[in-house]
Amino acid sequence: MADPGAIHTLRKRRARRTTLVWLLAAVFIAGNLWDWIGGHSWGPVQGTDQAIWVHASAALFWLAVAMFVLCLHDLSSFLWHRSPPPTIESLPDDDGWWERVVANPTRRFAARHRGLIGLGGLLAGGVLGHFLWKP
Amino acid sequence: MKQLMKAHVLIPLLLVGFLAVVTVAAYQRYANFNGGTCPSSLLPDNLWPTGAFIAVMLSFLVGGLLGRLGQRPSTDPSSVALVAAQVGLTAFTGALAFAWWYETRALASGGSLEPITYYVMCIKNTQNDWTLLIFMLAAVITGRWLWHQPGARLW
Repeated sequence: MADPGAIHTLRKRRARRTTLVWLLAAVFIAGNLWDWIGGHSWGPVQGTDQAIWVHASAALFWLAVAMFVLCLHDLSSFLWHRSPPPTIESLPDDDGWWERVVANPTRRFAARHRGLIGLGGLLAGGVLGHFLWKP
Repeated sequence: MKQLMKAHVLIPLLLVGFLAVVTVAAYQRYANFNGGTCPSSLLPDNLWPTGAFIAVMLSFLVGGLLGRLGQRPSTDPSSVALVAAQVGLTAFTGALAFAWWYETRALASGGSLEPITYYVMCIKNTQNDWTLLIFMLAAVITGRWLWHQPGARLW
């Protein structure tokens, strides 16, 4: 039987990380909207018919920023607690129905099939680049 | 120091060292490169995938297979190795964010800055085979990383 105090700490760490992921998703959406409505200008091409490429690149920039912030959080969490950030495998599967029925099976599927997901992303990127990228 | 001598830590460190040397050497070699010879557009594509596209896809799958070859049953990785991996991942995503920031600025600049994709196209134009090799290597490393299962063995 796992120590309830340790489980409580792991749950809090997990909850903080999940909150940060939602916050970063909000920043990603807000950053892109900010670019689209002209609140922030990347340069003169943003106001032309070629703006779609600037916005596509900016979307990937905001995504990369979110990934970077999450990595910084994981690193600081690791150093502070002297252990890796907990995954679902570190916690008993007794959360609410959403976690048990939807979220955790989805996370397990993604962890098991990340190679296939990567291959799908590579294929999608290759096909999109093949047909859409016209420098 | 003993941890650093383990092969799985040594190889990425060697790659980082190699990258540092190649970056400096490439800067020395191409700092005054005249981009006037670079193409301003690519040949039109058709429906059929190119040989390079298939080669990169196969490299990704080969990288996945490499992840399942000949691993000894692993004990839990040490804390130093895990922190080093997290530091590496953080540095990589930081570099990625910077690269996308520059790419977006360059795309929006209207010509005062050249985007990274322009340089890739230029390099492909002058060093086609080497460019394909780099893409294939990147695909092997990515496939190896994504498909790696700790302790998994082929037999």
